[in-house]
Amino acid sequence: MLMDSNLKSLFVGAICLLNMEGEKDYLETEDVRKLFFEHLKSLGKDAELIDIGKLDIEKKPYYSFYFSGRSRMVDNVGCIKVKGQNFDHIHLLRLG
Amino acid sequence: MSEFVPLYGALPYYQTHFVISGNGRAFENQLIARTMKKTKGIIKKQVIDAWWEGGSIADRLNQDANLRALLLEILLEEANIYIDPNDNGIRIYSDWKPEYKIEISKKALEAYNIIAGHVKNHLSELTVSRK
Repeated sequence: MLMDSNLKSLFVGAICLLNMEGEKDYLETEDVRKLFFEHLKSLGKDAELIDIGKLDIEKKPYYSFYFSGRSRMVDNVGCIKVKGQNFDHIHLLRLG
Repeated sequence: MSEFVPLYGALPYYQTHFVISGNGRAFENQLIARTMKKTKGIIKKQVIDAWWEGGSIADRLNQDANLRALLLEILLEEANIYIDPNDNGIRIYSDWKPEYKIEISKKALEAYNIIAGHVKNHLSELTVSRK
């Protein structure tokens, strides 16, 4: 009986290790931009991907720093244009 | 997403900025604003009151009952919403989100759209009054 439970836990541990090998720690930045773009499309919005570095809004600084807790170490992920909305662009930023 | 957060490089946390082009610095004192909220409960947390604080744009946003009703629904997922006028635009954004929560709800998108509309109208009124 004891042997059986040990074998079972070993088996579960091996499966966990196999799952960890195939798992990504985090997605690539390009993927998140496309992921958000696809999500906007699924919401029924007419969105358009814009190449990275083409717009003035992608130049730093991204904050006025009037609010506390705004990080200075921020990466530009890219912009998305959504037609028929009051805002001009959606700008994605990554921390760090 | 894995519980493991690497100690190097960019972190898997994202922020979505809804940008209105133009120089926000010209009217930064009037356009800067943020939401404040009152919540109830711990396990079944809900927002019972939400309002804006900041420049003259905050008064305008507080008068919109439709926006307030939307804020009561979305502020639990969006945490806080900030209007941040900057050199290269006026940015409307919420707090940092982990990448598995990057997707935005339809109601949140509608709220951002309404806020951007108010900011645009207020900006044009301020520009006219300065002339």
